[in-house]
Amino acid sequence: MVFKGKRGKSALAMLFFALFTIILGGLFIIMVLGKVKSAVADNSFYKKFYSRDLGLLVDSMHSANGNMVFSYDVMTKKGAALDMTLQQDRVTLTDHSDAPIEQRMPTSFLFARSSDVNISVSTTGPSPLSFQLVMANRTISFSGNSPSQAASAQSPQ
Amino acid sequence: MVYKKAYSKKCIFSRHLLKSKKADFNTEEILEQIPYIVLTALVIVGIYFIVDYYVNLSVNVRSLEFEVLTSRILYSPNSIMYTDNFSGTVYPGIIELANFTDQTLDNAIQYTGDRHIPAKLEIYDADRRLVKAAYVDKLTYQHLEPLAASKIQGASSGELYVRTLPVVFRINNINQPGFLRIQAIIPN
Repeated sequence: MVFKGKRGKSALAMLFFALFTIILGGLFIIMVLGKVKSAVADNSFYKKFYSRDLGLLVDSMHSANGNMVFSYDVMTKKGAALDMTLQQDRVTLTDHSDAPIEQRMPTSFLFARSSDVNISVSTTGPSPLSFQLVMANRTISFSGNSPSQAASAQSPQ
Repeated sequence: MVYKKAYSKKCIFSRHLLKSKKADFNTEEILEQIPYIVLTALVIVGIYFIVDYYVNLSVNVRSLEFEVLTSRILYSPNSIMYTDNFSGTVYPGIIELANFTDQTLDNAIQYTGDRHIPAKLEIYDADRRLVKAAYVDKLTYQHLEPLAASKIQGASSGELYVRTLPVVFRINNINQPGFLRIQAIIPN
């Protein structure tokens, strides 16, 4: 292609502009679609929300005296399954899988520990489910997951 | 037109002028496109920010974190609040001054990560004179305080939360009225 003369130069400038617009538009579409896809398709929002909620709940349980049991419902969208793990210093949520926890895109939220409260490392899941946060004898743990409870959590109230 | 006159004379100077005019013409063509390019970029950025605004995946719990920390300070047994040795009952709002130390607070509120919530606690008497100060994670607090107090943005800084509560503090089993000022920094 030859761009000669006044018209040719003008056409060249127009072509550069068109190419620039197409490239910019393409990048824009990829960015926006990627963001919308991540919002709709993956579980990152649920993992973020429940890790914070459970982390802060465990944190506040540290200041309690005596024994207590919280019934906690995890409601995720259809097809989404999460595992919840209570660790020594954090609550970690991962996609439900048999793979090691590090390979499941974990989302964690740290809580403050106390020298006179023990943490029993425990995992529950997959969501949706209803499970219990138990504080007994100054020890906090997750417990009480069963298929029947998962079914009841799934059914509309 | 200057362009045509210069071309007809065919002298070195006019050729040079011709070349420069051609160059000016091309530059002008390109310069004309700049507003369109800028406008296109602005529209695209605008649409992106609108999508970003309505598709919000962030979960901001900073205020709640501060509430939980305050709750931990006020209600934790065997911490700075007076705890009845026999029943284990905690009396929130009654501070045992002998227990008001960095060590007691760090035992009651332990964070494993560096980027967690440090706090400074100060007890003032009824005349607003400082009686005693203690810290949760003193080192991190002193590191972050200048940045947070100056409201410097960015990952290395934090947001300062302050709350003052009316309390009673006990010195040698004598209760005195005062205030507890809690300043916590939540890192960005």
